[in-house]
Amino acid sequence: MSSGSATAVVLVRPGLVSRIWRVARRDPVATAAFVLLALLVIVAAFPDLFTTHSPGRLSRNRLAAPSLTNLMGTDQFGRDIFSRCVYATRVSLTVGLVTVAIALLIGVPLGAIAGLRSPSFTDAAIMRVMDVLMAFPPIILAIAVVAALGTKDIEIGPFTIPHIVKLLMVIAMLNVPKVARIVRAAVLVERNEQYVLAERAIGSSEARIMFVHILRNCSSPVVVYATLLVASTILAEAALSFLGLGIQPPAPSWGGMLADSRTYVMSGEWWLTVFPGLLIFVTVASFNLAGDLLRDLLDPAQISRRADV
Amino acid sequence: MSEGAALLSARGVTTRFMTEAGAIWPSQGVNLDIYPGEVVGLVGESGSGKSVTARALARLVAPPSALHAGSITFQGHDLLGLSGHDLTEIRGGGIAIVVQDPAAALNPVMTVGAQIMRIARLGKIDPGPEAARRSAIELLSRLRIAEPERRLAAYPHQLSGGMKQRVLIAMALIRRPALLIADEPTTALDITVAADILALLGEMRRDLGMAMLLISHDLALIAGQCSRVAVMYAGRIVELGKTADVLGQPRHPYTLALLGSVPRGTKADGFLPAIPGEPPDLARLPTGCAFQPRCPQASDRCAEPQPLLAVGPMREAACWRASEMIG
Amino acid sequence: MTIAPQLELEAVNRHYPVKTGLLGGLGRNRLMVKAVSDVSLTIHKGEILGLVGESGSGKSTLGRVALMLEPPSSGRVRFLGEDITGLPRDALKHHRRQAQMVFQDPQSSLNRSLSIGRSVESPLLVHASTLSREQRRARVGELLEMVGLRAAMAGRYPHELSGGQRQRVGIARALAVQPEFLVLDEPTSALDVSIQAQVINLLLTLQQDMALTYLFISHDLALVRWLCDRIAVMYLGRIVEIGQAGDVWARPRHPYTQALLAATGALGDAAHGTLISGEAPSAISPPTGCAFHPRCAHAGPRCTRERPLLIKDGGGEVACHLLDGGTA
Repeated sequence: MSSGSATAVVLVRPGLVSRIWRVARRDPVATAAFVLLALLVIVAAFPDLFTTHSPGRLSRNRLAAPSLTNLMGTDQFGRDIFSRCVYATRVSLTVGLVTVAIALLIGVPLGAIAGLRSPSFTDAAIMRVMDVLMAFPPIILAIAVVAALGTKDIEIGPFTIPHIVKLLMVIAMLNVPKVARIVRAAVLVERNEQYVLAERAIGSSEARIMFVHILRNCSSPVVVYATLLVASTILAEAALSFLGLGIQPPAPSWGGMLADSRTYVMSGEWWLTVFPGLLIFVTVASFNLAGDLLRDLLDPAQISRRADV
Repeated sequence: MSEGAALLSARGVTTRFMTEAGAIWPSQGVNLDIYPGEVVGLVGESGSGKSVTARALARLVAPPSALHAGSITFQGHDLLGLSGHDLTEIRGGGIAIVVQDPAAALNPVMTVGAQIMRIARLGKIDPGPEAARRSAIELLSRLRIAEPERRLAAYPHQLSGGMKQRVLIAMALIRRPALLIADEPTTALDITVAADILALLGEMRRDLGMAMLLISHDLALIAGQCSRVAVMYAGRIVELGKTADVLGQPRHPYTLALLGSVPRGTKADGFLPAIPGEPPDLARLPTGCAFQPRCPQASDRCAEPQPLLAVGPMREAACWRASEMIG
Repeated sequence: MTIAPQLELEAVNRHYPVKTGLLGGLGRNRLMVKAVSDVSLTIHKGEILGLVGESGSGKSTLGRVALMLEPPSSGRVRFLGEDITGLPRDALKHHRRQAQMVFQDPQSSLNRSLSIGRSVESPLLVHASTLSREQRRARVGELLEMVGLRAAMAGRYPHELSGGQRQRVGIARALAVQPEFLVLDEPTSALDVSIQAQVINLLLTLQQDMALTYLFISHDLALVRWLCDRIAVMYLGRIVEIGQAGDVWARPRHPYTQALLAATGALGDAAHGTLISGEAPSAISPPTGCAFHPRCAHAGPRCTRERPLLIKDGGGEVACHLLDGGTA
């Protein structure tokens, strides 16, 4: 029974390092994907450290095969493909991460409110708007937006809205309903767990119950879904750029580079298509794989450690 | 009960369950005979391995569990040597199983009639749809389901818990098995419904001359239903014998302690004699008796393995003190 | 009884709308589940009242209404003589300090992504905000030791504990703010008997040491008889019998109580007492008159027409026409 002297109590989870190590050992493929992504992020953040050429600099050395000076060869304008790929990574990752961040910022609260208030008018209203948004075919909508607003930067008074921001907003809006649905479904499950009732019985505020308890337990499906969303957004951006609706030349983008190389597919200059294509593939695949790893890292039941304290 | 050949005879049944932390052994060297027409109880707490063991007897363990060692003879056939059709013939036709959670055991998108009839027609001799339907209706009415023709068209969600359990029993019995393995058949049900289902199960068993292995954590239920009982602890049978003997005069300290912790009388009689500690971690069992850390009578000798030894007529116990525990 | 009542329920009803369709809960003419109907009940200070019933009897709902976790659709809830039915949020929060709950499923009643120490700390954050971090942690350690765990286990996660240990954590959390009244909703039904005995002993010790009052909800009549001073039996949202535990066990008066006892026995020795067949009807459209009449062996024409009221009989109260002088 209770004794007067209480021992000091530790309220922390097992160390982050040991958890990462545990998960990494179990799933080496996902871990490799994760490391690769980290590398890509560094490349995107500091492209100058890796490039030997300016991505836009033309040269007479056109359509040169990969060599020590041009690691991935050059394109029809003599631009260094490696450097262009590095800068395109920056564009693609920015588009992927920023749009998903915006989608999360809007979608998580909407889904959470809908889930908590379900069934109610609020829930029905939010979810019907989401259904309408879901019904837009993404590429067609993007084409419509570009058709309406053009591919130029828009100037409203003193502000300039770059084309890429328009693009980000469109893709983000299309992702909001997907996020909202996932969050709502997770909240609907969690809010019926007895620990929520236990917190109510304690007298915790609804805000505390929502943030400390419910959303925390919804985080793993949301994070996993978000990484998949980043991957699909990168693909969507590549498709839009390929169609000439996305990143405008001469700025480098994977999709745009693929579009430019179309004429050379048959004529033997394989490096024009293979390297940007490979990068899209590797990046998208890595995001998809990394989602599983993140879920394992977030779920305490996955990091079981029966060490006797 | 020992006269005649055993219907099912298991020797050294050992099952393995793979986890990340390594293998655990839900059943270790289980020997059990079930004779025609008798009801044997398999009692134990959660984690004792009773369910996995029972499934192993019907060769129904699925990955990540596996039957690791042992031999099982059923009606003279070596169950482990069978495959394909012969195995399908035994499962359902020879050995049937009723599980604990009727809601999860029924397919939600098939009518109960289709599910019962599908099983009726699985055997080597297909009775045809009409005969299967007739026997399904007959069985449901014997299971005291009103309007059996109409019920055949119902989907599981349209039925109450007790009704679903009756349907599961019908599915188990439609091919007239010689042995029914009932794994906690009433745990998910209300007590008044459970009593009704048990009475019904007993009736059907007598009518069909079927043997039953009843798995339960509920000693009162075992006492009322079974002629013999095996008590499991940490993957091993620790005591085996006639129900009245085992529950009336336990010869293993675990059985004694388990009986003691069932509430009887009132709090005025003093605290419930609880078993201290927790059931052991199957991944790291001691070499000796697994109950030793919780046993009030443990001594150094318990560190040695305790085999299941005969301690009387039809009576076995896995404790070196078994002979001292009389009276 | 001259002992002051801890909690009084007066003509409490709790009805929910049935969820149907896309815009469920918006329509006007919706079906209602009558989870609790017209229940009046007094729990005395320091007693353990057992509330027995099968699934769908409304016993858990009644427990939540008693704590005002769900407001009653009508009726009054009084705690220590004070009406808490219409209390505003902040006053209710203050009330929560005195009345707490232990839940059935120790798996789901603890937040799986918080260490058990954080779960036990939660009520302290709400009600004892003046405590420093160190004081809170010291208190968490004390509470864990009080329920038979080690203070050093505070950093563990629910999945690292056994069911019995998790339920101890649930009890520690309920006791963190030193309540005087606990609703225990089937606290041991998910546990093995040997572990159940440990937890029940712990609950009894705590009740005696801290002079607590319990509402103990269970489907297990033998357990309720062991632990409780009085027993109330619920069927389809209503109390059909209430009395001293010993009396209800030895001389059940309501046919449903008799059937429950018979079933408890029948699981032990076959063919004992009158077993009933069928299952409890739906609480959406309970039978007219006495809700038990379709399953009752003694039912007469009066039982289908007229609802029996709880009347004094012997030391307790029973709602059955057989016992109010008339005939069924």
